[in-house]
Amino acid sequence: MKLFDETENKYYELVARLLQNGKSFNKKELYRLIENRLSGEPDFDVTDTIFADKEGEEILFSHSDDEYTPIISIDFPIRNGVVEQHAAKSLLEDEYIAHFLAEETIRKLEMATHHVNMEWTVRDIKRKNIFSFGAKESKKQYEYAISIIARAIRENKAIKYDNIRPNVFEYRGESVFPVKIEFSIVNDQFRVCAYDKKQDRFIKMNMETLENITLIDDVTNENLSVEYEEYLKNNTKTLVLDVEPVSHVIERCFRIFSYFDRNARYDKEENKYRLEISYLNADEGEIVKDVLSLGGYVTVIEPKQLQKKVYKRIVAARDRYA
Amino acid sequence: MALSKSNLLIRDYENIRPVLRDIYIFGCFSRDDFIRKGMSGRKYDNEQRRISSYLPDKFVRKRRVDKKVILYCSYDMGESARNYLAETYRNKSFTALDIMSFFFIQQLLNETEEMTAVELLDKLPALNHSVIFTKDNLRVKLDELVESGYITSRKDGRNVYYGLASDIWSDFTNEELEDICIFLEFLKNVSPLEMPYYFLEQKLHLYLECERGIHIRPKSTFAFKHSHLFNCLDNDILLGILKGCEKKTRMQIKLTTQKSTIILPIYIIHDSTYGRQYLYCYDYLFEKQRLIRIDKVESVEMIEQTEPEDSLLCDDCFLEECWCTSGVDENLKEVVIAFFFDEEREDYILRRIQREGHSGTIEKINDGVYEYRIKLRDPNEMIPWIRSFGERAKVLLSEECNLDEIIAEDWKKAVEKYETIR
Repeated sequence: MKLFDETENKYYELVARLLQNGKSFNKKELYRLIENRLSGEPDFDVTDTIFADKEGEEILFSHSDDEYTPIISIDFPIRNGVVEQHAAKSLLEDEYIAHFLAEETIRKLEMATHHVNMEWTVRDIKRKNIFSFGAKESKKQYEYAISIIARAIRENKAIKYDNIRPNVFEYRGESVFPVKIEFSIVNDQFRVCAYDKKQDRFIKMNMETLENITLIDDVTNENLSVEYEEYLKNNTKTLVLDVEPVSHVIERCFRIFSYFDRNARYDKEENKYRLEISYLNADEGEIVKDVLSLGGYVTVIEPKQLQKKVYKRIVAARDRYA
Repeated sequence: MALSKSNLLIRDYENIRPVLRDIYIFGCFSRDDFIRKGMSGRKYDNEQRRISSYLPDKFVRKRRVDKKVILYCSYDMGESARNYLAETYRNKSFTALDIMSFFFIQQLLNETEEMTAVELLDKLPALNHSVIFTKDNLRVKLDELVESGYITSRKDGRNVYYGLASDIWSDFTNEELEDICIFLEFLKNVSPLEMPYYFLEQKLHLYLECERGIHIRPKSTFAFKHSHLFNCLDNDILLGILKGCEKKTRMQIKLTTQKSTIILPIYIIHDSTYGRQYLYCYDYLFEKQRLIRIDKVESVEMIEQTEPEDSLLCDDCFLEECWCTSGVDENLKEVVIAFFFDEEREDYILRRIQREGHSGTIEKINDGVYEYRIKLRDPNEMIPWIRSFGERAKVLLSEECNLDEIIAEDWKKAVEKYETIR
């Protein structure tokens, strides 16, 4: 069993689609499918072979009068390879399963993968530096809420919920249209980004404080994901950092910011790296924390207001040791 | 066959792995830089052409810096949670015999519950003049399909009967399968071993479309912070090692930095801050326990079962006693840090220490002053974390490490740097 295996090749998936219902298709339909379904550039050496139109060169389809027809007119069954079967069974040992799947689905998954002999377990991967008291440790309150919210996002529907932090705030029976579920791997926290119709604005709520989440029938016709993208764009700033060319620093710095939209260049004359990162205003606190963690090896160049803030903090840090 | 002429299909994933990693993580190296690192110009040209063809234009981009072309990747977690790097795994090379046997055999077995190799051979089409099924090549292909899980085999006397693998999703409702898809969308981004979940999600979408007539709209539900997409590039190596961990076998491991060595894999450590993955193992060649970076491994192979006494070769406490991965041969050293903050306005600092401070103890000393203590094998590893608190943290004690001096010096250097540019 190999992970990098031809049975997972994108052309196999394309062929599997075309071998359903014994239907025929022409070149135009084929090219449309290739354009819509295949990621990346088409490889004509491959497509010309699979969809050969000369007699004696046919692979899986015969060709006549600009029509391709499956050589065997039996539907191709969609089955899972060993890697996928193992992935299905390993869902059962995942710490987040109760956040996504209902008890009945979990029970069915246990039954369906009962026969699968595992050759690996994710329990042999020990994750370090994930913060404590996060979503993993509070399974009960989630009760597959993530899937409910994801369904609302896919179907443009609203959710109803209570949002309660004892002694701080209490909102009951509120409704919003969720647009994104934000998950921080390090913080181990889910947050819901949603459009609040009453306030006519996007809000972000911590999943920890949400309760009694249900899907309701309110449907929005507005394209909220486009509006949300616009909202993000309008609330984005660019951080410019100079980074010393010390290999362990470069590596840590580029890795820590790798999930941001970014631009990097190496200035040979000045012997330094310059990294530009687009970040949301709301994430500025986290950016400062990350910049400080890299110490004197990185310098904030832009925005000036952030440069000033970081400078003040490092002066105070220096003075702390004086 | 034109399949063998394809320049885009990949025979060995190791060919594109290092180039793709550098392009994604750094995105600032030109062809000359890769040549300086030891790669031949021709290899760079081939691999960058392949990479550009696998990945969409909006993800892999080119820009010109000082008359040199730089290839880089653009990922914006707010826009999409799609891991385009994972798609490079869907370009494994194959032959005409591979693809014909994969589809024909499963199609035939979809109609007839069980068939022998002879019965299958009899029904296999023979339209292609170059690819001809024979008893021998069919048996090889049947064995491969059994091994890869798509079909099953059963021996009855002298006959071997082949059948389709069971449909594991048949008892699930459409809604349940959609929930599993959402879970997989999450795991293919969050798990340190993403690719199996990525493949399963793709297959489940195909299953829903072909078997249930449901087309899942490609709508991105999640935005992932602190995700390290590039880890998927090492997933084939990681999976090989995990199998060795499960089987408790000795493995031959080939590193980019040294010749092969023989190891006993114990477990993988995944550093969530920087996305680095390490193999914690016993090295029989060096006769000591050690950590090996997964991205420095070129290949792994299981070689033999371990001896019972091998289980004593590694140290059970290591994981709990290191901040991340360092200090495998070291003793514990105590670190004491004072944290200063306004308890009313900055109570989140205390929460941060509690959540992020591993198993360290926290004690209130005065109003706004807390003392944090921890014992670690290598306290140097926690320097970035201490620095992330800025002026709110001061190291009071660090046995044998002088963390206070290192950090104080570092802040001095940082202030000087800012003063030269302001």
